[in-house]
Amino acid sequence: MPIEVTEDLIRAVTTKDKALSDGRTLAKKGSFKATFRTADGSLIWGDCQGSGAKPYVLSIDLAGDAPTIRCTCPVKPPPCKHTLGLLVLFLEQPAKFGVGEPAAELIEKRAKNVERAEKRVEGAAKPSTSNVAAQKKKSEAQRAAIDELLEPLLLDLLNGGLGTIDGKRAAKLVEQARQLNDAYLPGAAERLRRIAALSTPRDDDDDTYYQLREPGDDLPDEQRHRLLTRHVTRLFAMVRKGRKYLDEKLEEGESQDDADSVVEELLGRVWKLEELKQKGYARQSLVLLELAYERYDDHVREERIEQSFLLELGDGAIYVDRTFRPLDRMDKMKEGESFEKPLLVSEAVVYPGFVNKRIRWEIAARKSRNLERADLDAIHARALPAFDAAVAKLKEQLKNPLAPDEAVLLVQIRDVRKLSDGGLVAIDGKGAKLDLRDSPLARYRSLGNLETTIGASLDANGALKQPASLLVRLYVGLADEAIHGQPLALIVGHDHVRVGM
Amino acid sequence: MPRETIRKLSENTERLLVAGAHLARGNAELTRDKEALDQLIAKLGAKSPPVFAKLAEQLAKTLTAPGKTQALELLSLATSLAQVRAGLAQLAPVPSDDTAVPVAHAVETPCNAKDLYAVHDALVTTGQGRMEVIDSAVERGDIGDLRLVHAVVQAMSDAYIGATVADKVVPQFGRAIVEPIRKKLRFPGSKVDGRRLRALVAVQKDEARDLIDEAIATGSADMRAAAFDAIADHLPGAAGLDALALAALDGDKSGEVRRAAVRALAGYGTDASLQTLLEALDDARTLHQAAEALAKSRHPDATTRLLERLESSRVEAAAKVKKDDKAAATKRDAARSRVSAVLRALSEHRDPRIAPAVRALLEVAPILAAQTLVAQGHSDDLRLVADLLHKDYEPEFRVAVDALGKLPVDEAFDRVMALFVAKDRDTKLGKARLTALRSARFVPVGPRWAPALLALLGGAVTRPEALAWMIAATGDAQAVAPLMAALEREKKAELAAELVDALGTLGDKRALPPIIARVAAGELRWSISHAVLALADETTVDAVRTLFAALKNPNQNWELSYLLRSLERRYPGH
Repeated sequence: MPIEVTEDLIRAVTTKDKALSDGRTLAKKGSFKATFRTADGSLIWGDCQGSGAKPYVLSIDLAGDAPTIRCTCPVKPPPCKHTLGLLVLFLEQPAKFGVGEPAAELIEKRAKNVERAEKRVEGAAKPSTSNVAAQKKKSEAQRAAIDELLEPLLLDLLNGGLGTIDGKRAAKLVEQARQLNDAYLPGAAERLRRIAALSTPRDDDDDTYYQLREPGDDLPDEQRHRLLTRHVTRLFAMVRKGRKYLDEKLEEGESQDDADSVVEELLGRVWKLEELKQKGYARQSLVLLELAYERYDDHVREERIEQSFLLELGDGAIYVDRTFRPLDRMDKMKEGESFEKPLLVSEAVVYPGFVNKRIRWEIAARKSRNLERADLDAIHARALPAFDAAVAKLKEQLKNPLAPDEAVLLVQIRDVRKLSDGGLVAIDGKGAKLDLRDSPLARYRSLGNLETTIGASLDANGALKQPASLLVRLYVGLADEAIHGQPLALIVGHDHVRVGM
Repeated sequence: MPRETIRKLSENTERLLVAGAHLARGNAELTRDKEALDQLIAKLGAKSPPVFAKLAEQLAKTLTAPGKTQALELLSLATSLAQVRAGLAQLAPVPSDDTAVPVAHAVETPCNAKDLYAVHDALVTTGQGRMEVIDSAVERGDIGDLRLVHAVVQAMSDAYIGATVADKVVPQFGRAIVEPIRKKLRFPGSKVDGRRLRALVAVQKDEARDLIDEAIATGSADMRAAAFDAIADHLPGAAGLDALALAALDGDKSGEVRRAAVRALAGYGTDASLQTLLEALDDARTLHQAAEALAKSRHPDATTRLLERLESSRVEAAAKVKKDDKAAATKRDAARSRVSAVLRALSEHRDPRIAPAVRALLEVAPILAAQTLVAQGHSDDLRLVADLLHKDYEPEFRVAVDALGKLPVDEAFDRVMALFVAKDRDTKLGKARLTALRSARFVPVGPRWAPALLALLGGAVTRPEALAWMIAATGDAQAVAPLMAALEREKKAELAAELVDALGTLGDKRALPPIIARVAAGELRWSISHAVLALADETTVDAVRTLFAALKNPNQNWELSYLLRSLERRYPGH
C-alpha cells in the first residue's frame, strides 16, 4: 500500500517553509512536464524546468515507511522546491499524472531500497557476521574505556575533591571527555562536560535567564555542589551498569527495558527504528495530543533541543517527541514540530526509558485531525487522580540511578493557591499540596504565567473552575531534596493554556 | 528520625566528595553518622529496611578504606545514599498561609510555536531584523502572548528596542506584566528603571503610588524625572502629588527633573501650582512644559492670568523693529515666544474672553492664534479661520481644515466641494489645499458626501486622486461599486493605487478581484499590498500564487513575494 499524499505528509517532509512555498509556485506555474505515476500510485516522477537549459529530473517513491525523494538539482539534502512542488501537484491535480512505466533505473533503485530495508530488519533481528565482529570490537573498546579511562578519572576527581576543580582542571575534564567520545562513550563524555561547566561558577551580574550556559552554574555553592554530586553518582552508575551491560549481565530485578536505557544513556547509541521494533518497542494505533512544547539550546551538547509532550489519549502516558539539531547546522535539519492538532499514528516506536519515554514514527504513519471537545474531556479523564499517584511514578523512576531527576505528569487538581513568598501551591482532590515553583535548573520561568491563567479561571466563589488538570514537571529540589513542581500547561474545562516554552 | 539520619549522612558524604575522598577514612562526622544509623537499625529491629543495613556496611567500608580505595568506597556510599534519599523523597512541605490567587485578566497564547520563538529571540537576543519581527508581531496582534511576559520585561532594558517595547508591547499585557516588572525595578535606579516605572504607572495607576513616592524620595535623577512624567501622563491631578512636584521645583538640581515636575503640575487647581507654572513660563528651560501643563490647569483663575500674560506681551510681540536693531528684535522675539506659549496654554481652555484677545494676535502668531480660535469654536471665528484656506500661506491650510471640520455640515460641504472645482485646483496652491484636507484628516460626515464625490469622480475632474481617499473616509458602502468601476477603467497606475487604497479602507471583499487584477498588471506597491491583506481570505493565497507563478522571474519581484509569503503565513496549508 503506497503512502498517501496529503497536506499533512507534505508538511511533515518539508524542512523549509520557503521551499514549500516555491514548490507550490512551481506547481501553479506549470513547470512540471512529463509527469507520470505507476498504476498503483506508489511511484511518481517527472521533469521540472529550472534556470538551466536542461530540466531537473525528479522522482518520489511512495513505497515503504517514508517517501524516497530524488532530484537532480544541486540543492541537498532533499526535499527541494521541485520535489515538494511535484507532491503538491500530485495532491491537487492527480489527473496531470499519466499512468506509465517507470525507468529501469527507478525500479532498480526501489529494489535496492527494499533490499536495504530487509537487511535493516534482518540486521536488527540477527546481525551479520561482519556486524557482529565490528560490534564486538566496539564493545571491547567501550569496556576497556570504562575500566581504564572513565572509572580512574572519576576516582581521581573525587580524591582531589569536587570543590577543587578550577578552570584548568575543568579544561582537562573537557579533554578527557573527548577521549571518552573517541572510546564510544558519548553519554559519559556529555556528563563529564556538564561537570566541567558546573565546576566553574558564573560570576556576573547578567540577569538574563534564558539560554543559561549550563543550568545550575549560577546557583549558590551548596546547591551547585549537590548538582555536581548528582552528576558524579550518575557517572558512577554508568560505570557499574555499563560493565554489567557490556558483560551481558542483568542486575537482579532489572528489566530489559532498564538495561536498554543504559545503552542510550551511556553508550549513546542512536537507535534505529527497526531495532526498536525487533526488541518489541512498537505500539500501534495511538492518538496523541500535544500538551506542551519546549525548545532550548544545550551548549554542552552543542545542540538545539525541541520537544513536544504528547498525551496518549488511550492510556494516558506522556511521551516526548524530541528533535536534536546541531547548533552549527540548524538550517540543514527540519525543526522539531509543534502539533496544534491531535495526531493519529498507526505505528510508533517508544524508546526504552522512564516515565516520559521518547516516541518516534515514520512520516507515513502519521495523520492529523481537528481538535474536538471530546479530546479535552479525555485529557481530564486520563489525568492522574491525585499527587500521590504522580509521586509514586516519579519515585519508581528515581530508583534507577541513570534516570532523570524529573518527570512530566498530568494530574487533576482542585485548586491553586498563592503563598506569601510568591510561590503557588496546587491542591488535589485528596487535599494533598504540591509546591509549585520554577526549578532553579529550568530554562524558562512559567510560574507567573500559571498565576495569571489561574486568576483568569476562577468561578464566582474564587475557586478554580472544574474540571482542571495540570501538566507539571515534578522534580527533586536541590536545596531540600523534596518534590516540587514546575507547571507546563493548564487545562480548565475545554481551555488549554500552555504556560511554559 | 530515619529521614533526618539519612539526611545528615548524605550531607556529610557530600561534603567529603567536595573536599576530597582522602578525608573520608576515620572521619569524625561520618563516624557519628554511623553510630546514629546503627542505633536506628537497632531501634527498628525487624522493621528496618534491608537497604539501611547495606548503607551501614558501605559506611563502615568507607571509614576504614585504605588510600587506594577511599574514593571508590565513598562514591559507592554516595550512590547508595542517592537512591535511598530518592526513595524517601516526599512532597515539599507547604506553609499554611496560602491565600486565593488574585483575579486576573486572561492573557492568551495566540502565537504558534514558530512565531513564538522568533519573537522571543527578537526580544532577548541581539542581531539584525529584531525591530521588524517585533513590529510584525504587534501588527499581527499575537505579541500579547502569556509566554512572552518575561522576555518582554527583559527587553525593556535593551538599548535598541527597549523604548518601543515599553510603549507598544507592554500595554498589550495589562496587569499580567506588573509583577514581573516590579521584581526588576531597582532604586536609586537607571534610565531603564525609569522606563519600568512609567510602564507600571501606566498599568496600575494609583496602585503604583508607593513606587512614585519611593522614586521621588530616593531615586536617581532619571527615576525622579520618570516619576513626574508618569504623574503627568497617567495620574493627572492625583491628590498629594502636586506637593512633591512643587518641592522638586524648589530644590531639585536636575533640569530634567524640574521639567518633568512642571509637567506633573498639570491638572492641579491650587494657587501654588498655578503661580509656579506661570513663573515657569518665564524660564526658557521650562517654557514648553509649562505651556503644556497650563493647558490642563483646573485653577479657576488660570484663564484670567493667562490672558493677562497675553496682553502684557502683545504689544511687544507686535512691535515693528528696525532691521539693524538687534536688541529690539531679541526683545520682540522673546515676547513672541511668550505669546506662543500662552496661546498653547490657552488651547484647552474655554472662555468667551479668549477669542477677542486671540483675534488681535492673528498677525503676530497666525497659526497658533488660529488653532486657539478653532478650539474656542465660535462660528464667526471658525469661518474666519476656514477662509485662510483661500489665502496664499500654505502653513495655515491645516488649521483652516480643522476649522472646516467644525463648521455646520452643509457649510463645510459647500466649501470643500468648491475646492474640487476651483479654477486654480491644478496650481501649486490648489493642490496644497486638497492635500491639506487629507493630511489634516478631514472627516466628511453625513450622507451628502459620497454621492457628490462620486459624481465628481465620474466627471472631468482633474484631481481624482484627491477624491478617492475622501470617498473612503465617508465609510459609505454605496461607494464600493462605483470605485470598483473607476478602478477597472483607470489607466494611470498612481490613481489606480489611490482607488485601491480607498477600497481597502472601505473593507468590502467584493473589491478583491479587481485589486488582484491590478497586481496582475504589475502595479503592486505598498498601498495595493495593504489593501489585499486587508480584504484577503483563504482563496486569496491561490490567486496571488497564480500571479506569482506567472512571472518570468518570480523571486526577483520581492513585493509580490512578500505579499505571497504574508498570505501563506496567515493561511497555512493554502
